[in-house]
Amino acid sequence: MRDGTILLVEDNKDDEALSLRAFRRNKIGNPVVCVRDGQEALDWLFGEGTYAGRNPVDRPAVVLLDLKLPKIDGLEVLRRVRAHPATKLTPIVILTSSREERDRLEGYSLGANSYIQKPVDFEQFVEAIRQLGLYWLVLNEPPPRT
Amino acid sequence: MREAFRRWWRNEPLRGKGSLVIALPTLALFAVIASNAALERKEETLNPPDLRAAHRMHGVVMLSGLAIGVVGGIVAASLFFSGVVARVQELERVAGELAVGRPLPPARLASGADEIGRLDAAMRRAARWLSVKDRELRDSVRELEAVNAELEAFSYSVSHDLRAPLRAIDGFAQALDEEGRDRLAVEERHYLDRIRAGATRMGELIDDLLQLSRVSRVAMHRVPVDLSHLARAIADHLDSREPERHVTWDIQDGVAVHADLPLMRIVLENLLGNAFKFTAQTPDARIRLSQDPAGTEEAIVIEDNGAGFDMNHAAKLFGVFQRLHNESDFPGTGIGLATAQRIVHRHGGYVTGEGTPGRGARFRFTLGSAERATAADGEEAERGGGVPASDRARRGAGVPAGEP
Repeated sequence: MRDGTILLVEDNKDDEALSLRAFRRNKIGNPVVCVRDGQEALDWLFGEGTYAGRNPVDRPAVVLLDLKLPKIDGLEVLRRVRAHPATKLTPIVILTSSREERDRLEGYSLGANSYIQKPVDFEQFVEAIRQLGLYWLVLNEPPPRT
Repeated sequence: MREAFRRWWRNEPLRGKGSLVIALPTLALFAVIASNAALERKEETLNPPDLRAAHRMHGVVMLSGLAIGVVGGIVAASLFFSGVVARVQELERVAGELAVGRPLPPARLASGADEIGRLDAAMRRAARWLSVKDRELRDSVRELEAVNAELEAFSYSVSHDLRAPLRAIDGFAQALDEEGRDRLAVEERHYLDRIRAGATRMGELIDDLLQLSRVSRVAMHRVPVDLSHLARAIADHLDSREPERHVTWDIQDGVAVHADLPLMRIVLENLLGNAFKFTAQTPDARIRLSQDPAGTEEAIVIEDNGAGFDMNHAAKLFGVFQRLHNESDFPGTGIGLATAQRIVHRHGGYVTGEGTPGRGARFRFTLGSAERATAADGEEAERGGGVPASDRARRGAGVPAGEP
């Protein structure tokens, strides 16, 4: 397993705790950065605001992006990340409650790499995180640094 | 003077103008007859030279009378017809604009108190009435769109916000179960299982309700659908979910319909899923999908030899949250058949179910024709649909798409 960072964009503290627990259960030891809203996610990714000085070229291995977020919603985050030259290749997985058709359609249209609905059942959630980790942190070759 | 004449001409009913056309030649004819009678009287009293003069005089009267009759008749007729033709032409333009819903040209020649004038006025009244109804219709559509948007926003919010607390309930109950394994009594761990089962079931209910609401809202696109193919894929999926079971699937080849593909998949998932579920305790489980040859409609029949149901409760079959079996025997949310029925109704068809306890159940549905569904749905459906017109008419008079 490569040691790339996982950026978890999640405003719900319960979901954050459960996600971290699911990482632990799957022995995913990569560093995890948790941000609470769309603005904070963009600041981290672009190295601005609170995260001024972080080099945006240091891409995370994968961004797990919730859609319903305070301030700037997930789809808008996706749009801006894809528009920025330093972050346009960053792998982004939408990890959200709904599987509403318009969310999936817009998510993929804006260039999401994957769309996963968070299951209610925690065992299923752990399994989803296991497969997600296996795929994005082990199998998948990240885009080259430019 | 000309203006006065024109006004008289326009306001005079057609009958008045008609009388002018008759009056002029009639007057000329009377003049000729009167001259003839005078000549006959004079023939008895006059001497030959005077008689010749009288004959000449009579000839002049005859000729000029005829000329006045003919010329006057022609002038009156042409005046009459040229006026009528111009006004009828204007009427035709008014009718043309009315037919395509464009604003009518201002009233000119065609107005008046006669038949043409009344026709013109009636068309203008029709145009005003149509524009009022049009406005009302637009208002209703706007209201409907607003309600729909609200419903959409509501189910969007349900889909996002109602599941998060359930994940917390299930997730932390699991965490407690796992981390307190050594400290918790068997019964306490059983309570945690119950909490988790409740959360999972609530999640299923939310998903099924969202699907029920979605099938009424999504746009429908009728395409040729190979139900046999679709049914086999669903059967394979069901088999793979419970590999320990052995169900004999009897799916007729070439069952084709003209319907919305994603919606048909939901119908078959529900009906075949039910058949699969209710044959779980049947030793030699059989599920059959076929096209019903009986009757005038192309009906699809799905039957099984499973638990069946009591026909006394058949009225509850398609109700939301209505279940005819114990949750512990056959789990389910009670939304599947309501969803299937809603889809069938959107296609302009109907669905019925029959059952015998312990012997099995039989569901039969039709999909109506593309045209009927369009009328019911208010959407553009594809033309044709491969159904002959006579069939469509017969279906149109068929069973209402209301109760099962």
